[in-house]
Amino acid sequence: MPYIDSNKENTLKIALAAEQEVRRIETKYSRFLPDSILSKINNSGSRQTTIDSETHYLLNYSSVAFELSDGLFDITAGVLSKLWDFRNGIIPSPDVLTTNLAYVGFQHIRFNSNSIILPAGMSLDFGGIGKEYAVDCAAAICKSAGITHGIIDLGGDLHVIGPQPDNRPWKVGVRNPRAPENAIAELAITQGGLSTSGDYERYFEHSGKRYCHLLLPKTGMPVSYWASISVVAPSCLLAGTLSTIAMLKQSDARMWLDEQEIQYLGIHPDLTMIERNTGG
Amino acid sequence: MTSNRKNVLAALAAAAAMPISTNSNSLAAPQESKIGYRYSQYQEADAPRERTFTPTIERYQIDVHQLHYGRPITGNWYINTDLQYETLTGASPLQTYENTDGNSVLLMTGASIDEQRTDLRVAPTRYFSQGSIGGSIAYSTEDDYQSIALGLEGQLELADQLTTLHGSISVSNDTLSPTDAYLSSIRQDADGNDKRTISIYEGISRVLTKTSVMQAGIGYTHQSGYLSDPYKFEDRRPGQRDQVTLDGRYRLYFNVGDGAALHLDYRYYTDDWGIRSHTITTRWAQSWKANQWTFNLIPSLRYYRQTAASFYRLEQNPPDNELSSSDARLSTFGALTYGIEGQVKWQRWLVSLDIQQYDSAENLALIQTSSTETPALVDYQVVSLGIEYRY
Amino acid sequence: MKRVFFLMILVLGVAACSNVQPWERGYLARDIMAWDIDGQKAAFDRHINFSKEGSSGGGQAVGGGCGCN
Repeated sequence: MPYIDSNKENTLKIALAAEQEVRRIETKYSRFLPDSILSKINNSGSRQTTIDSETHYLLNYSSVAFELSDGLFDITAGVLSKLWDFRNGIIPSPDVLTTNLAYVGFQHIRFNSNSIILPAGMSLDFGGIGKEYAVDCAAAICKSAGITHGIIDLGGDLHVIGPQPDNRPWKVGVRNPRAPENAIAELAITQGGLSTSGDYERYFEHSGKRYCHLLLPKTGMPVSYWASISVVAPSCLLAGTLSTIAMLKQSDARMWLDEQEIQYLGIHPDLTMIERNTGG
Repeated sequence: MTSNRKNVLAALAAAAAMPISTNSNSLAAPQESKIGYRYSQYQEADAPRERTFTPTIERYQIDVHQLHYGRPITGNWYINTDLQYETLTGASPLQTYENTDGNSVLLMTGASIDEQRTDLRVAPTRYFSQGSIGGSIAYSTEDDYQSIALGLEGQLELADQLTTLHGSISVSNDTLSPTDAYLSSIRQDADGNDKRTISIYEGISRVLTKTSVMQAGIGYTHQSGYLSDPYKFEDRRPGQRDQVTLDGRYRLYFNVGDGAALHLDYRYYTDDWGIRSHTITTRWAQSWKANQWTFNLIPSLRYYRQTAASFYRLEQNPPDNELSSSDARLSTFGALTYGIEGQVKWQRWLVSLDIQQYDSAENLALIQTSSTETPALVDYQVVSLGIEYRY
Repeated sequence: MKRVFFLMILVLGVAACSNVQPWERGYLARDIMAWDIDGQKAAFDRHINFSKEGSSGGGQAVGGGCGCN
């Protein structure tokens, strides 16, 4: 988390506050902590769970994303990921997938500003929005503390608070999807969020075919058209949602991204690239 | 919907920008506690000396302290508590009559009045996914007057999620106990008398566009009991009063500064005493943001006009068996209120300053002007300072 | 009663063509768009107007007077 501010002590305080905010969100929405609100919802067994306004905000955002992506962006799809053993490279049987598809579908959730009812057997996974939201919240803390130049970066999901102190845009590297330790391209960003969705985070190869962790919620099968898509949007949350939807749209992604009139970089498995620059 | 799908970014951005805090246009229970204090100084202009019978011309000066406390109780309940304390000094009109020269004479109380009034209101509300039901109990007490009111109100959001129905009902019982009852037989007769009120209101509010909402409603109020003013001379009013109001409110958002809103409120009132009134209020609420500070500036203009009650008369000695009142509030007149409120918000704090000037006059009624002077009509100025903390 | 009917028609008529999604209500949720921006001020103003004018009410059921009127 690089910050630039003349007063180092003050900057450190702000950095700590931003870090604390990220931890707060991580703890609150972790699937793995039994006391997290997400665990409470997932273990509620069809009973009503009380939620606060922040959780309602994220649920509402997810429902809009679900609707606008024709069901591709679905925070209930985590059930399907568990069926895939990426470590040992085992493809689940079609029967198992079909059985479990019944537990996927955001439309089955009932929620309002105070509570949520999640049908038994289903589960929520904020993996696709939690980190991105945390990045934006941390950036908001820095902005409200008067920080005007800097980047909040949580492992590739980032929010540019403002340009470099001399007002030049930041050059942000995009990972090479086939050699993730190296950058393959640079994007110039002055302000806003950047998020990359790729097939290299969790995957295995079987008979020459790559099976990645990005699954289509309607079939439970991985996507294969793109190696990665990076999107620049007003916030990291938006960028993350758009890049995920684009990956899931596969061959339709290019036209769809062009319609959004945003800056993006798509990389094919053969590492050929498609870029759209908005100049801003 | 499908035709709109192209602009996914805009729709998502709108969802992402949705404020986390709850608001008045949503039926969700507020999750934060709020404590507020507001002090107002109310000052009436002097009565015109050339029309007063005695040299007493100073009218009311009132200091008002308001305390508000709201807090959630469990997820779905919210309770609001309001306490108001007023201290009042000054003189008030006893009677207005037309002398033999055809001039209006204003008779003021001689001694300066010194009064306190305390008003406590507690209102719990239960929120449901589609609406809310709230109760309220209010008690107000002053030297010569007690009032207790019970209310019930509900809101229901219809399936289209754009329309909300509002309903409320209130019953109250007021008891008069005039001070210095030995001074007049009227005050003695009034002592212990009741004034009963039952009021219902039905309204409908509706989201019109992304930037506008409106509300319309109808209210009916029935009063019975001792409705005269025991402190005024020759004040004999009917023992019943039926009032009907029709009102509409409109809000329109503008992308100016950090946002601005145009408010238009209108109320039509009619009752069986012969009073009809129109009230139009318009406000421009302008918001600006600078770093962590939010500034709101809200200028407003209110125009009010009413026709006189059928028994309003300025005879010095009207027949005892006839209804009569020379109360300026029952005359034909019009009034203008100019106001400006400033709010400064910083983190959880809000500080506000509000200034209002109220001018009333017979000729401000514009049409149906009365031929008589009404020197008891009053102008006043209010300055209020408020502070609020949310947590 | 004719007026009420007219108001209702007006409200419902305008409403028929509106379709504002819940996530499109960011502007409507702003504090400056509230029916009463400042609740204490609204209560105070109602109280003062009630004590100085011959008519009152609107927006809600009314009750609980004071010696001021």
